[in-house]
Amino acid sequence: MIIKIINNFYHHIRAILIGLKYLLSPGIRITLKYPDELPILPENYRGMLKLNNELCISCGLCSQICPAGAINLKLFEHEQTKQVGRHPEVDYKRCIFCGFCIDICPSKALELTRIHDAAFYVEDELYYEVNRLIIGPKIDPPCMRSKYVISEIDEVRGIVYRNA
Amino acid sequence: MKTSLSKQQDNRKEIELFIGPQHPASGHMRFIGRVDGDIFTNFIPDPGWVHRGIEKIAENRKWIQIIPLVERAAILDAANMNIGYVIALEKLLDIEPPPRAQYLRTLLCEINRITSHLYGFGIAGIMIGSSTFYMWPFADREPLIDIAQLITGARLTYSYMIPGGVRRDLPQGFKEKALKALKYIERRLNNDYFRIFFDNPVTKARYQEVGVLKRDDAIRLGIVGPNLRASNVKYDVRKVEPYAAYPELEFDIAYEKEGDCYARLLVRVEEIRQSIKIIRQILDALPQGPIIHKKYEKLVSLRKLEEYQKTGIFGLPAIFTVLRPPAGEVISRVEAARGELIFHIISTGELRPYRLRMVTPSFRNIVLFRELISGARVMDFPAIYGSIDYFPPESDR
Repeated sequence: MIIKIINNFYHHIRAILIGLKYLLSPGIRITLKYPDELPILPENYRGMLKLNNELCISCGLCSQICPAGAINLKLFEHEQTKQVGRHPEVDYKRCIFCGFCIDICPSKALELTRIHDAAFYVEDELYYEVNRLIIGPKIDPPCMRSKYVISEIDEVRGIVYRNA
Repeated sequence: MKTSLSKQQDNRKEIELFIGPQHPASGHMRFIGRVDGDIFTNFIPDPGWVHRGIEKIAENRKWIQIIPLVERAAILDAANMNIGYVIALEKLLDIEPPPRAQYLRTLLCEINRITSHLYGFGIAGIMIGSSTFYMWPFADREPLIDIAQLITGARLTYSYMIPGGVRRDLPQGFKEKALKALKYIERRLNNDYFRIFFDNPVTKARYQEVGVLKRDDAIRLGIVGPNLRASNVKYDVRKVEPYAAYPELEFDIAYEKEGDCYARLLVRVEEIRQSIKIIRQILDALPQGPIIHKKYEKLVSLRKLEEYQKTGIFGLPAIFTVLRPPAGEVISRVEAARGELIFHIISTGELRPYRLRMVTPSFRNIVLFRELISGARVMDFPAIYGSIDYFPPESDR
């Protein structure tokens, strides 16, 4: 009985001490302070799409494979080059970022961008017409003091964020 | 199941207690219990609040489009859901992926198993009021999610495995990063987690000898996964019916004898250790070679083939949009993080499956609520729920 009480006391103290250790030791935060710190994502990250209309051969495979039905084809004439073709349009209300469209594109006309913040002020902006898809997504930093960071895996602290 | 709702309350001693459906813990789920004083005399789970009809939707999707769909059953365990479906599809198509693809699949599945168990720990922790142990496992998933992101390009919904192989090869410098993450998680698990939670007298008081599931009951009810193995049954689909690279890898089945809530937690701890062991073996003995079946390697465009040889990112051949597996009926069994996952697919040789049946582990474990909580005290309910690691979206599909 007494041994059990002592044992319990010992384990209580151990639990409190380990909690205190992590409470008091500085810089063990593993989360990203999102609007203040923006992550630079790895190169092969499956983010939003960008279209190179000169390479597009209007095959429509991207629209056929899309599991969410987010891609429609539209007849499009480029303003400067007068090039005509059936090019994809993306509806980010439906897109699930599986990247099948990029993988199946035989001419590499669709590209990955590393941007994934599909947040807009107006709902209609979520629909990317061919014009905007060619330019690609451009997101302003959410707040003035935002800075970019790179995450690195660390043996001691899990993840550390370094300024880019 | 809902008979107790309409029954006349003749016995005034008992009252009906409703828990949920607004997120009692890890998802939307309702429980209807009858309470006599402090003790549940009857306890009925009432699932179906997050039913999305995945099986029916699958009948209207092309074969390749079902890959992202089945992942949505358990978003934390996407790789294991994915491999179950892809193995069934490969049986229909009668193809076998190359060895390197098998190893890469196993690698992702084991990373996913660790993150899923850590999530379970977090939920178990907050349910008995330990908010520290809610934050720690959730934060420690992050390095593992990061290395999964390096392989697949996505954090949770990987859609990594395709019939005949995988979509991408490992990026450069992956091994060092993965080993660092494993070392970190191993230290946290063996030292910090035990000190703050598993060896904590409060946890032991809440968990030990609570919700005991006897060996015979576990077998009779058809329980799967860690919950079964905590009742002294050594059953693991990875050993019984090996798939992917598991026959070539060395690992033990984690099991415990007691069958109480504490044993169910310890089984998961041991499973994480075994997963770490498996990942280390894979990183050391990863075979060289292609990541996709020969049949499909020839079918991509020249530009894509160049990219594949340079960066290791294999595209999808255009034939996947009109994939028509021959008519037939297949069953695949895999060990997902929460237990055995079964896919039963009937094909009539069309663009879409005729029927897809998905039996998820949580669906088979749901009966535990009735068995374990009937007769338990009200304050034991969170402890038992947390230890079962039940995930409503996975059960409801």
